[in-house]
Amino acid sequence: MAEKPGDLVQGTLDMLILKTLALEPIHGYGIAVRLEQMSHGVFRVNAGSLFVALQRLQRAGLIKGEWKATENSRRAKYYSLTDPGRKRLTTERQEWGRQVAAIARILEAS
Amino acid sequence: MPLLRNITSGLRSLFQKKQVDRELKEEFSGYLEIATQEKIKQGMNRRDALRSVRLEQGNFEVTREVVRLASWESLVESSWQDLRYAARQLRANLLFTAAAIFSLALGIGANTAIFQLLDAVLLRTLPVRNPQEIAKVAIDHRGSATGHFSTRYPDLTYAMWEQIRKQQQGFSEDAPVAAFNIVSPGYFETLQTRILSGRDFDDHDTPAAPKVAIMNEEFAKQYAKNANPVGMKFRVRRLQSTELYEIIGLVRNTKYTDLRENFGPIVYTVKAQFENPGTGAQILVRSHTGLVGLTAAIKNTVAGVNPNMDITFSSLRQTVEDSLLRDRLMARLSGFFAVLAVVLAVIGLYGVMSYMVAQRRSEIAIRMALGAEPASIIRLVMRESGRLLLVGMAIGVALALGGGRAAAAMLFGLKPGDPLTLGTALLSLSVVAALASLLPARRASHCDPMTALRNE
Repeated sequence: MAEKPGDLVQGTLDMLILKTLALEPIHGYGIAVRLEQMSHGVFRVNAGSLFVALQRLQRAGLIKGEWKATENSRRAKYYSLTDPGRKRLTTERQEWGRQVAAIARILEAS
Repeated sequence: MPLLRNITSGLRSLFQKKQVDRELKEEFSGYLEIATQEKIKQGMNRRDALRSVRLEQGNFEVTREVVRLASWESLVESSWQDLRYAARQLRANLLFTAAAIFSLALGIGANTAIFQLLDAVLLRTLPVRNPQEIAKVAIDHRGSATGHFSTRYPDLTYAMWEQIRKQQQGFSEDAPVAAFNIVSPGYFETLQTRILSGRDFDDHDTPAAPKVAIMNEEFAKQYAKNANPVGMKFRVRRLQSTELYEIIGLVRNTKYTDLRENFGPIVYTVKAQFENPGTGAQILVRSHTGLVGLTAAIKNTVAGVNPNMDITFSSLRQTVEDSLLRDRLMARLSGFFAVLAVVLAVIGLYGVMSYMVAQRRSEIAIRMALGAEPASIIRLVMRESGRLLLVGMAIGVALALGGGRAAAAMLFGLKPGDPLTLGTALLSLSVVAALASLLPARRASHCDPMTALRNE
């Protein structure tokens, strides 16, 4: 997998964002940092791609944004999962697991 | 629900663009600020941190465009911009625009006219069943004694006929007015006019028997209030007799004097009950054997009875053709001019379109020098020609509909605004317009930018 999120498998960025939001509401930069940390620096998302994905997810009703104060008292938009978002995350995870297993089987077949 | 949210959110960013922009900007600059803080924490000085973040994340304008392009409302927005650009361009090239649109309009109008005329003149069949089997025999000269008989429409009527008119004296306002037709038994069978109810005249309808008549549907509709008129009785005031006629049959509507006319009420009476049916008569003959032998045979027989009698033959088909002569002439003439107009329109359209593209050669050359692909140049030109085409088409369709209506009044069987016709016209002119802009655009996009610029 490449560094650029454009090279992510189509649709995986959405799933990964949903996953980072599953624990607690965070703001945009927090999502980017967490994705980078959790992937050990493999995925680096820039602001443009991230905002596009956030807009898409918001419009699909999977996440919602709220303006809140940060720890150093700045204003930031915090995103959190909605109920449909939580459900979507579950189904996407299952589907992803199925696909990964299938791909692995194909690659390991001799 | 998600769809609704998508739409409302899209509408919001369309109509509250400033606020949506401000929010995005705040979110973005917040994002950059936190990122910068992080870098400072890692030991960078503020200037380096800012620079590094900007390099990584890009600037706000780019991000805003990326976000906007990902949404459906950007399509709406860019279409609106396209339209405004098109309007500006049309204003700038007013003369050429006018010429192009006029060519298009003329072309569409003329093209439509042609197709409508082709449809009306060439593709229509005669409105009579087996017209080649029917012949009309008109006795036009009965020797010296009676003289020549002629009616207002000598070709289309087959018998002496009279119009019963309202006469001021003693006529009530709603006195029925109908064409009055004296025929003999077998008339309806010869013309294959269906008897819907009742019976045909027969040999029992003699002068001594009660007077009988047959009505057509239109008569029943107008004067019997759609009821079956068979059995009803009426008087003919024009004949100045008090004798009652009984209606014994109802027949289908037929055209009486002219193909263009609407069906009118007709009363048929039987010849045997008229002592003096007038001085002229026409005899209709239907034969399955063809007219050539038949006419000779009839002539012989008539000559055997009275050698002074002159008779002429004409087939019903010929009669119908003759009655459409004016229509056909009109149609041919206007068809000819329409073809001419289309040719002119096509030439004009091609000329104007290709001139407009040729005028932009230096612009195209600059775009090419800056790295535009030929395909994208062609797309650009085609898109702009397409806009012009749409405006021209709208005007052309309006003209064609207006012109078609005027023509319909003059010609028999013309349908104004037939969608198929209009569609064919639009399609063929679109193809011409597309070619007219594609060819010069291709030429311009394939030439060397430097040559094009130097030629300026």
